[in-house]
Amino acid sequence: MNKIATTFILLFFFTLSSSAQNEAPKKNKGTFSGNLQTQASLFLEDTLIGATNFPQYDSTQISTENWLRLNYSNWGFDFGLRLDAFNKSNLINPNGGSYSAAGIGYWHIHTAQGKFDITLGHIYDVIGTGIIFRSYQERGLFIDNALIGARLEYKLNNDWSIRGYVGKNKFLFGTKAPLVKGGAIEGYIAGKEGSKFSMSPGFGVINRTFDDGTMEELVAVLKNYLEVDRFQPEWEVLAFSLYNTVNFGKFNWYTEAAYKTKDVIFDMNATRSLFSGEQSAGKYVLTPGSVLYSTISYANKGLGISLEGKRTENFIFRSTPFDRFNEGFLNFIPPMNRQSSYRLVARYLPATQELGELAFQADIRYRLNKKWSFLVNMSTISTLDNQRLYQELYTAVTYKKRGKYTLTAGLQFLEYDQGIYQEAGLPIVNTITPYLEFLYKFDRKTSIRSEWQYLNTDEDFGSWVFGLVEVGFAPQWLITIADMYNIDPSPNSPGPTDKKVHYPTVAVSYNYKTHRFSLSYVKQVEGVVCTGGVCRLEPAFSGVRFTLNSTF
Amino acid sequence: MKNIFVLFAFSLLMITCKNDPIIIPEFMAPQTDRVVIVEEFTGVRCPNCPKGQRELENLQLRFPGKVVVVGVHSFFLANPLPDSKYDFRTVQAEALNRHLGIAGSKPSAVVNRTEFDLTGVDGLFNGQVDTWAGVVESELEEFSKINLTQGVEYNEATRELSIDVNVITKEDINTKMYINVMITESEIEDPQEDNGVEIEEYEHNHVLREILTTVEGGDDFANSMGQGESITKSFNFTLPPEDGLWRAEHIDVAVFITADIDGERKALQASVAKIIE
Repeated sequence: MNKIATTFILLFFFTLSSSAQNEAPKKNKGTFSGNLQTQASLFLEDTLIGATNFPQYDSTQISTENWLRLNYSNWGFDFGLRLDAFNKSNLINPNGGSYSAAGIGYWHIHTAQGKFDITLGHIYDVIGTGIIFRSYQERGLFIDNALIGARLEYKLNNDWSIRGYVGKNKFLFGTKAPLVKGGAIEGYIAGKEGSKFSMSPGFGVINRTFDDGTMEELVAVLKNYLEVDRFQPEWEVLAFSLYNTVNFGKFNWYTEAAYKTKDVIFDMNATRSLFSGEQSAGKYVLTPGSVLYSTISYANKGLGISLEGKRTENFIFRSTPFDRFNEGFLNFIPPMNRQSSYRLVARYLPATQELGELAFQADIRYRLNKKWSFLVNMSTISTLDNQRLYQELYTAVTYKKRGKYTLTAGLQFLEYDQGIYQEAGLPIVNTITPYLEFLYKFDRKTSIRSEWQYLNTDEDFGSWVFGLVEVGFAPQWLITIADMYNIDPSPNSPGPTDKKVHYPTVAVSYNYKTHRFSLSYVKQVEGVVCTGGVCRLEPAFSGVRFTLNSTF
Repeated sequence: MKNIFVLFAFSLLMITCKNDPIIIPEFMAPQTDRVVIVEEFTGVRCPNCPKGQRELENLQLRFPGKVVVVGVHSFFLANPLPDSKYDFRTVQAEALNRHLGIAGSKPSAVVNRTEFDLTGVDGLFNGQVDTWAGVVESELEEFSKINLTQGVEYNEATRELSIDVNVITKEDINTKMYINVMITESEIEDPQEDNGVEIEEYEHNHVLREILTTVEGGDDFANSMGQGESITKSFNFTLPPEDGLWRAEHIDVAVFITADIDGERKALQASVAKIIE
């Protein structure tokens, strides 16, 4: 039945696309567009860096992931379809998983009729910053939790709108069983004429109802708990969020307060009593949750200041209590650290701690003139018991000679509780990382960019040096040679301790119109990969990667 | 007025009605002749794996005589620690792991080779220790379709081990059946990560040491069996010389029968015996 539906939808789209391309221009042929992303990895075992012990390396396997998105708009409707195909993919489980499947990963039909905006199918949306609800796709972490169902939005007037959803969260090519309902009302209030004041308040609600299967599994778990650890679960959970943005001249202030009624979550810090008399770490508990989040920013001429704060308590919000790692997210809690593209600066990234976290961040930027600019960023994250988990001081100075070169240099001081963020028992990592980036433009098309970083630490894998040279022949070619070098390895480093290991990367990418091809030879050290506070530990990789991004 | 109606309609969407109170029944051990096989995928570098082992010991107390455990050390987190005397990984353990799929996390348990559907991606693997008891209990709610017995004889002088496995069906089984015979060893003291601390003399139990059939199960066991039919298979194995490992007094023989049922190769019954009582 699924194959018949797939064939039907594909025929529908190909018919639309061919008619969109072939019909006479005077007819209302609609618009057709699409995007293809393909990535393939060839695994080449390297025991020296720890790229071994996975089945992929045993037989030099090739894995592929493909996403083909097609869009068609006509007759006041938008149609969207995405075909996903995975072959021996380890994206869902980097620790040797091998996932093969293909099918329709996304579809939607959308129309705006008068004051109504209606979507059926897969829905990506967010309430506030996502603390109570965010459905989104993050391919690198294999997150795709689109709500499959219906979305209805109604414009109450020019400034206010209300929207509601109902559906189930996507998971692979199926759905999670619990039903999710919710909605939000959002508006805009302007100050008096000539006033610099305005605000954008909103209120959202999400309700998740357990299905019978999930409840049966939960009862099976609790039945085997001793009396002291048991509780009576509830079918329903409600999450509320009140949020508001105030603009006043050069100030912008966003606040959000979210509360979740009692929900079953797995608390890894709790202790369970076993029938054997022993204690076991972690258990399911029934508890409410809350998040308070605020950010205030000021911008004036060359000066920009941003302050952020967040308090999180027991705010794990997933489709079922059994979802773990990156599965079954219903929400997204904004991260509280600076996102960096420099390899060593970004080596230790803190995943959002949904069980409990108190975090602050300050970001100050100052542009002295057209040549000089400065940045200082500080962030600190601790448990609710004031045990520090993460602290960063990041500085950057940029000197820009317009049209010729840009030089950026800075220093990062970092403290990172590896035992919390990666694996229990690992130490607190302290690093000092100076870095330098230089971009030189020979002419409008030809440029060379170079990065140099040194990460100094006694913990984890020890100290590193990273160097990168990238030559660009715009708009077609980009050639990159980089090496991450374990210059002062620690006893924990992969391979022999007296061996200073290189992790080279050689990459070539080519752009042709709206198509981008990239081929790279990669040796990648084990580490945490994060996108917006959602992280996972990725094992070392050795091999060849190919990617294609094509828009049409 | 229209806006009020729309607001009212959206509010209706939020109204929920599933409020039936949930009663957690008291635990009662199922009255059954069934014995489940739990293959636990573990590793000495896995900080949460002792939690899994504690849970399995807990289950063996909770369901006495009904849980057979095999600890499979393979792939990630299983390579020896710097202070390890032994490497518990074996070619067969990794072949078994590959045959069953790869666990997304450790510890992870395969219970009776039955699909685990909580998250939809794990296949046979269940990485959520707290749910193991419920899964085991669920498997024990059925009676076994076969009687499985094993006779073990061990010659201490020659270290030769002979195992006779007998299966008598209690009903017609019209599907292919397979036999799995595994040698495990317990009470091995060697380092283990335990929630951030390296325990130097951690007691490793039920460590898979040898598989006497193919990792897929001996495929020549039976194409089908009628009610009351009996089949006996014999296996011989000579224990390697004792080198800290292979201490006969700590060796068990775990046997289980699998059968192709509804597209899965599920375990019908399991049995364990010490080679020296």
